[in-house]
Amino acid sequence: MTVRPFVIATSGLVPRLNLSAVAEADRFDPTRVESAAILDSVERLDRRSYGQLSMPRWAQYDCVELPGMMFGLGDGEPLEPTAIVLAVPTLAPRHWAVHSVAGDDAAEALAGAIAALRLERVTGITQWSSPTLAVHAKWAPLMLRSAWTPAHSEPRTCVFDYDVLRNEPPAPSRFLDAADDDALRAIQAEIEAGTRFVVTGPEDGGRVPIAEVTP
Amino acid sequence: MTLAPKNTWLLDELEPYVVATPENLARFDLAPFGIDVRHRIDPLHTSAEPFLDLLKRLDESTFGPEEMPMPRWIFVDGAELTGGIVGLGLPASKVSAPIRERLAVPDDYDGLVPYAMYIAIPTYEPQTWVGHNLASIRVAVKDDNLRGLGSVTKAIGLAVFRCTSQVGATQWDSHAIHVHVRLGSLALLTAWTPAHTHQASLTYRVDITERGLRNLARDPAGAVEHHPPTRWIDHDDVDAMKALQTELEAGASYELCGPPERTDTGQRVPIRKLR
Repeated sequence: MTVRPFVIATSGLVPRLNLSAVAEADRFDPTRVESAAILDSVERLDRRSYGQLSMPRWAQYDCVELPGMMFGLGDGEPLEPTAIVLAVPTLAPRHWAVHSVAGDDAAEALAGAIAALRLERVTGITQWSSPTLAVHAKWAPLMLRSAWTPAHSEPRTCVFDYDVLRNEPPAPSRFLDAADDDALRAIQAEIEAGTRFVVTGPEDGGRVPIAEVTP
Repeated sequence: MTLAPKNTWLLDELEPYVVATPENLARFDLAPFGIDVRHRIDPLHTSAEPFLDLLKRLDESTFGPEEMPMPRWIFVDGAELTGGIVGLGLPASKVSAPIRERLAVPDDYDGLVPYAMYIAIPTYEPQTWVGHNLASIRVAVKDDNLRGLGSVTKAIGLAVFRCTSQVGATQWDSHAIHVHVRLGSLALLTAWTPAHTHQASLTYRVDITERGLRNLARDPAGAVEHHPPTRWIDHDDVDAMKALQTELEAGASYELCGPPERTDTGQRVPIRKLR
């Protein structure tokens, strides 16, 4: 089976998309009853990927499908998702937040979402130990906004921004152990004091490379 | 002109707050109706944790019984990161014992205690927001001082966000419809919604005007117009909801044109066909 893209978005968003990126994509409007099956499949993929951090159905609708978009890859008839990206707009133009990237073809799905939305800047949020961080890190440098996030169910969560047309990331100046709570808290304290850090690449053996950058 | 809700206690005593990133705060109206939203909480700052704990418990107090409490991480991903949380609260030293107990306010906490919150996030359409959570301690703790709390909170929240069009989803049996229609007639986007946890949900869009916000807050300077309904939808009439959804998907246009009426088994909701 050939993996193909699909988009779950309300009818008002579709005309705003980069159609050359989604021309061959299956399209589903979450406000239509016929989309129930694909939404069931997306929910299953999300649950397999995130377990206790999977998104309740009502939140997928209110917090993603109505304001934003799901971009995915899938195969088969009926279409079965193999990867999904959940993205919502920020208040800045061409700057969206991606708060879920799941599945086997996650990197390709993220690239597809960025192209479809013509994004210039992305905000990501994920756990330090999540493979999702490596997916985003392909777009490094990732500017850290938080390194220890007690606002989240899982405080070992990082929030970061990156530019799609990115500069070459700097060389790392230290390596963060994703399981070292004290180290994560210490970085957070430095961030809150004004120091800026970037993630410079994917993790290696549970250690994430970061660099301090000048404001 | 300042906001003048019918229950003057709300704005005389309660203090407004906003939870949002600094980037979003810069885009908000932090003095809506001349009200100084002076409590500003950065959700990515670790110092915010105690207050965010209380917001979680406020949400559980409101939605726990309906089985739709919000997981903590959705406060971040689905509210604080891209949108905001606006509400009213009271300094801990002034909070009544029943509310302290209900929200499990720590004995050594001396900050603001949230009494209500309104959560909304921006959509791809400028100044159009999805409002997805309106919580009030009055659901769990009956106190006549808090009458109108949810409505005033939503009015201030929409003004802070500079929202001109609000989209939302609610259930046909929800009492919250009484609140939402005070903004004006609600254009129906869905009537039966399998995308939602509760399929008997409707999705609506409403234009936000100053008169509508004042009417929402029960300010005598506010007013909205509702036209008579062409039919009624009973809260448990699934066949009617599905039939209406079929009409909407075929291009029909309906609006929810007034507050629900109580029935022997629940409520019925007035709708009007536009085309």
